[in-house]
Amino acid sequence: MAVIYPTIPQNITVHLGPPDSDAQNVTLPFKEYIKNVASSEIYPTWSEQAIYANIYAQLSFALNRIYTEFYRSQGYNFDITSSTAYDQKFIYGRNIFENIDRIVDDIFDSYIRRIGVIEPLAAKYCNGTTVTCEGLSQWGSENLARQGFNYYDILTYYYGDNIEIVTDVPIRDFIASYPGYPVQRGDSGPDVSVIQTAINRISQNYPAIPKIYPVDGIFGEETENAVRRFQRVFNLTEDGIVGKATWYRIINLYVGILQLSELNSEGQTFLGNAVQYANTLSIGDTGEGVRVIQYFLSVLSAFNNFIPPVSIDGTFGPATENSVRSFQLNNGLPVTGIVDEATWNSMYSAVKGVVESLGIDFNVSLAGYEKYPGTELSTGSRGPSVETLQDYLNVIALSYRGISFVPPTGVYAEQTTRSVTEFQRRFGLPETGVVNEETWNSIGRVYSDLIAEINVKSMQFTGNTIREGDSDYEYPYTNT
Amino acid sequence: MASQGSLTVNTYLSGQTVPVFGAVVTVTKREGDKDTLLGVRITDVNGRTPELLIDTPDVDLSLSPQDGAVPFTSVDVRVDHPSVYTVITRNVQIFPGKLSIENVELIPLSDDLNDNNKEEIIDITPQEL
Repeated sequence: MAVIYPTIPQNITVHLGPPDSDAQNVTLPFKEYIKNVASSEIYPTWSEQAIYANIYAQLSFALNRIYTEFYRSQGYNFDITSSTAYDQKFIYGRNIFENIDRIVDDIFDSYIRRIGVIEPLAAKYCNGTTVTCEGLSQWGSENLARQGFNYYDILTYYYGDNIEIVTDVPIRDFIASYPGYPVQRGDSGPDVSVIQTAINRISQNYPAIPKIYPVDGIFGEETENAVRRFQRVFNLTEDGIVGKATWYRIINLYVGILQLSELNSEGQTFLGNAVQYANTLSIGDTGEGVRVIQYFLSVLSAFNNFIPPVSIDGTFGPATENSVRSFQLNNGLPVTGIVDEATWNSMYSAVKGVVESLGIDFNVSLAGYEKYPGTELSTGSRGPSVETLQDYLNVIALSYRGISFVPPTGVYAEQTTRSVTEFQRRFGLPETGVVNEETWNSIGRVYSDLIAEINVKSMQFTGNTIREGDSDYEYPYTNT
Repeated sequence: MASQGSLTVNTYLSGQTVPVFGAVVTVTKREGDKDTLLGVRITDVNGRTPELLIDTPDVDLSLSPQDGAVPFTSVDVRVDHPSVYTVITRNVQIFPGKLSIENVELIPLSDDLNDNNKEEIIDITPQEL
């Protein structure tokens, strides 16, 4: 029988009170959750080894809750609470301490377990003064550290000798895993192409980060400077080397930006014509009206951690109802899970506010999933459609090993022809190396599905890792 | 010499994918009924403010359990921008020799004008140590 090993989730949903309280749930990246907990539980001025020991315990506790589905198996729709009577201290929106930030970036993909046991240790801890317990004493750990104990000694002191620390734990559903070695000047290959492609897209939203041209997969001075600038902007160690912390920050940001563009382009479908409230919708309903509110919730969830994302699938199921309730709770509306006119109008206003301000007030470049440009693209073609095509191919290349990266030059040359042919081969289309309407739509759909799947699947316990050979869908699509 | 810590505020939309340029960040310290202004900064194109130095208690206060003495300075951080809901974060903690990073996630205003004076208030409670 297959054993399921713990993985690190992308996101975690935290209930902001005791389990049965009426509080909101907030969903945020797992790493940010741990940084918040560590900053809320201990003091940043403590010895580094004590801080490490405490964070390992906090990681293990959280991963145990997730792995054992402690709350979800009881019917709750969250992974953990912020109540210290039940779980760990967490204050949404609090400040993080920079030294804690760096340490979590280093060890977030680790946990403690008992030797011979699969699940992460449900590591108990307490302050050691007003509360004592069987487990780590927070003040005690600082004392031990000052006596020269390292984090491992501290952990075995409190949890026993039969523990081990698991490291480099895979991250669930991650589109491009850290290659396992720090990528730096002098390196070349697909890992460098990923970094260059991602930084270029990020620099469209963060103009202070220089673009890297050409995207040639060679880590030279230009790439190193761009990496340093990225690190400065995001409070990472400014060494020009893409280690684990920098890699994950770059990729997470890249995916986030693409997901946002995708939503904006879908908005052309959902918000273009005069969309208006038609009838009350609730669980069990299906159809275009449901797709519209699912689109609204997807946009709002991208901008508001209190609203969970949903698939835009046209079926009003439990996930959609949960998201509607979260929206209502967040906006002071009666929490019914039913989209009546008041709820619909409130959602629509919120979405319009987001979409309008993105274009007008914020420096956001929106290159969404576009319609087929009307003419075939092939060797010698050049311009914005070719750039778009190359962007899509590069996202697909992140997940499909047989498809090569393409320098996003806007010029359709040898490498673009090759990648298009590889795509056509992989997805059962005639291998012409030319992008006609059928190929364009196939590429667009694979691209947007990848982006959409990453967003929703990271919420589920048994997400599927996107890997060549796996598929939830029948490819290729037939044109509709 | 008095101890100091520092504070930087980062403002974003949508989980850091979109930096908010030109947000007004007001940092104050409450003493009794008075608010003392510690600094006003405007975020840059990356959504960030320069570091602000703030006086703190001595580091010894955080290295062993205290009876009542608070080992950090508490400041309030208010973020305003014409296109987003205002966010006020109370009791941001500043420790001696440490940089506090306050990442503020901002939400664009709804189209419904009645809604726009809504302020989000976050209160940071101390560690239970």
